Amino acid sequence: MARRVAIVGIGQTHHQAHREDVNQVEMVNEAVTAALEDAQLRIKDIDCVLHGNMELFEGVHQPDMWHVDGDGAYLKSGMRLTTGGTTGGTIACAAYNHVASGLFDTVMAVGWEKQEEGHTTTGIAAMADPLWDRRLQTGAISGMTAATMIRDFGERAGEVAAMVRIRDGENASRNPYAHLRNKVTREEVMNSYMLVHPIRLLHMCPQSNGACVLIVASEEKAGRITEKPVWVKDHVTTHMEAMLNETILMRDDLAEWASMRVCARKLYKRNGITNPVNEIDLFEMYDPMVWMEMEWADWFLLLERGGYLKLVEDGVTDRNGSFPVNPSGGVVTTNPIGATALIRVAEAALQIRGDAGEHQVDKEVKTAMASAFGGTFWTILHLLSKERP
Amino acid sequence: MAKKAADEYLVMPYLVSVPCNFSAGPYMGRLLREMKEHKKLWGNKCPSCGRIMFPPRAVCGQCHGVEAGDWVELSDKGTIFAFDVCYYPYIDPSTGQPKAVPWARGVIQLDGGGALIHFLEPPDPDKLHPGMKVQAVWKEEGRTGEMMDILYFQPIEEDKR
Amino acid sequence: MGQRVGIVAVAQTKYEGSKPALRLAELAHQPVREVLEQTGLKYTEDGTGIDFSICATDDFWDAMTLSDTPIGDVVGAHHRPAEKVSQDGAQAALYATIAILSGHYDVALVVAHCKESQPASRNLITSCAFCPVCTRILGVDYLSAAALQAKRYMYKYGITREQCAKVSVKSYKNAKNNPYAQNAMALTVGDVLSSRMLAYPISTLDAYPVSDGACAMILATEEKAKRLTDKPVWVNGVGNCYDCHHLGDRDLADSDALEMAAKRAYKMAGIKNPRREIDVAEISGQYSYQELMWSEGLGFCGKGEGGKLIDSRATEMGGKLPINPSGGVLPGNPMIVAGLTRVVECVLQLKGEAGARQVAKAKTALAHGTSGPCGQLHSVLILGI
Repeated sequence: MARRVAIVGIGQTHHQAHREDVNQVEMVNEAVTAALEDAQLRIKDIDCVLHGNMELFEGVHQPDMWHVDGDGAYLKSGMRLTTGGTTGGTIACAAYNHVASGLFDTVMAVGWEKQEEGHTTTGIAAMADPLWDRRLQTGAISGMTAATMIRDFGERAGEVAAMVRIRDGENASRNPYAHLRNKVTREEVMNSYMLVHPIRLLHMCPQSNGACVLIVASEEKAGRITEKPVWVKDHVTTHMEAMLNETILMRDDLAEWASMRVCARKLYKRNGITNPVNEIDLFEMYDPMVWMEMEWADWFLLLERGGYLKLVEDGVTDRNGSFPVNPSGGVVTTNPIGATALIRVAEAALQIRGDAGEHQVDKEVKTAMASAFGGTFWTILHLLSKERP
Repeated sequence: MAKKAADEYLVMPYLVSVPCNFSAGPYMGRLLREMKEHKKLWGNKCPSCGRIMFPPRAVCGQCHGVEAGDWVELSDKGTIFAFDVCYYPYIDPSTGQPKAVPWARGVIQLDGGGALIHFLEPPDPDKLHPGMKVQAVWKEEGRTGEMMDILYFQPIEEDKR
Repeated sequence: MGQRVGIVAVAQTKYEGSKPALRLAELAHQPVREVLEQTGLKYTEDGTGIDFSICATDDFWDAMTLSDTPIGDVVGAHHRPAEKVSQDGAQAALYATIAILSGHYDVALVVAHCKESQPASRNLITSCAFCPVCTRILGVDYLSAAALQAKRYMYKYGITREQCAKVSVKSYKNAKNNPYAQNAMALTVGDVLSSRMLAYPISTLDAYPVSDGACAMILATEEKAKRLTDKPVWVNGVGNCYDCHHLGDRDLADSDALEMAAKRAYKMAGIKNPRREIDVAEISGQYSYQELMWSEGLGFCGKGEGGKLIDSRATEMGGKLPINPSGGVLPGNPMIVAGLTRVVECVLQLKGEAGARQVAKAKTALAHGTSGPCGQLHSVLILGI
């Protein structure tokens, strides 16, 4: 079998709306330094640096070239993989693949975004076909998922949306790296500024500046680096056809059709999981807005439509619940897009290690799942475990 | 970051602007030409799964690259499946200018097959609803062969929720 | 692990200064369709087909965020794993090799595409690769940066413009044998030297023209490769390496990163004397001086001896170590695609399918790609049969 791979180092910046105090390279360097310190390694111990972000956000072409000053890639092997929102997940997959190949022992994955240096919605709108729907974009703030949730669940949907945001705010208040760390109330959520009907400001992720770095190593090296390796058991990437994103909502078989469930089924089948809510301890989920969590979690967790609403209402997904979701505060409180999917993996790993400090969940975490979202409904899933696979 | 600290740092404004010529190719090209010259919408069919693809394209992605088959003329009337209304002004990457708000767009199921996303008028969540019948409003003059040759879709009947 | 990775099929479009009739995905579809036809492979989840698709695409060149979205339709991305390497295509081939060696996938499809003709000027794109605060505002782009490098290289080692021009002469001559080449010409050194100056010492015929094109390949585990083709080409060694970024941080006349990348690849392939053991090389030089510099970094000659190497005629067709029998990048090969085209050409050489540009009895080939300004990142693949 392929070499086992473990996460041995985790680093993040304190994600914020304003980081005029650093340029991109310096910001990335903060996370690199933090990860090396966490792993008690020096840059010379790293064999390869993988880099990812969304270049049209900051308007720098091939920023990995400039960033060698800060990420330590000088005279090292490396490459740049960029898949939009899933970038962080992609470079995590690539880091695993690099080590599992046997060609590299210790690989660093760097995901980052300095969103204040561009216009995020403009960058996302540029995803669309320049000859068709580029003028019709609202960026990531698409109201259609929410519209269908309200159609199907009425006012209950709005109430649960607020609950999810309250939960995320509570968790983020305990996470020193999160961007929006203030706790919020139901009234604040319900009355926040309308961005794209029916999405309100507090339903939606912020634009954050930040970087996240993961160091992964072969089993042999991991044993020498850390006493608490977090094993990368598996990763699955599922893309979709190029489409006008929202037209997917028209499908009757949407739950089975969207990449989330296709990816989840594949992951579960490969790992002998039949009841994810019982067999996985924690889920760091990439949902750019609370409405998407409410819909997609049903797909990921193999629930009937609306099943997840009940889990939220019952407190199951709270930090001290039996299936915590986004104990980090999630994407809705922190979203430096090139880093975000990597932060999901990093936060899941922190929970397994028991190192999440005040936002550590109450239960013991043996298995955790992290998802990445981007593109035309693409999904990446990572399965991490405390025990060696 | 404290405002004072932010004031001390140099921030350079910079505009990245790259003029491009996008090829329409034979499929998009035909759609845009038909829109310009005849105010008609065309899609094409996948010979494998049978679905109507709009905008028309070379291959069916769902069937992993099966080459597209027959052309199908589509209606410019349809039904709103879902819509949203944007209040948040942002810079349109096609023009470099901020978009005027509010504006609405919807997923529209075209009568007889095919679906598209387009602007909706009026941009008011109280005046639009799923299931509403809508009709394309074309530019009568000055069509150039682009999406905006249709100005927007508007309700066929006064049909308040 | 422990298995080799084999390349089982390759295809490329003709490279042209402009391909206005096709959209980007339609362009990428052409070589993909060919490799699918060559192998009969389909996109499957059960291990009998293609497991994984990698696109080498670039958001700036394509003027689209997530430029692999439309390409996904032609590489079977729907409901399946697909990836994007946003660098020179040789990196995508490298990543495919790594992904297969990892055991996570068995069979990978790789495609690279680019239309340099799409933006009004490719200098607008490459200028954005420089730090916006210090360098971009000077108007630096890859061409002007390359001119700096060429000047430094020529100054340090006494390389002459004539020697660089010989690379152009050789490249355009070799292109005559290559049906996919964008341009082929019978040139003299004088023709090159008297062509319009772009950025001293790089003149028009020292620089690669604006180019559109695409190429694709399928890689597989050793076991599957042997079943898919009679003539698998093995990826025996890979290596890549970054140099520093700011042009003043390094001596532009030397290429430490290329030496390192080559060293890694040679070590993995068990090559001790590249000059003797490499039968044919396809290397990515966008400007004529680069073939001389990269030859040094690859160990085909000593440091500073690139000029002597071209003078010796050893790298011409019929010589001891032919470089770029295809003509290379100089006659026309777009960025992002160029490195993967080099791999395609090496595969054709090793399979004996290179037609008029065939190097006799080629058994070991070297493919090279580069990304970033002045060869900041180099990728090397050693291929063999």
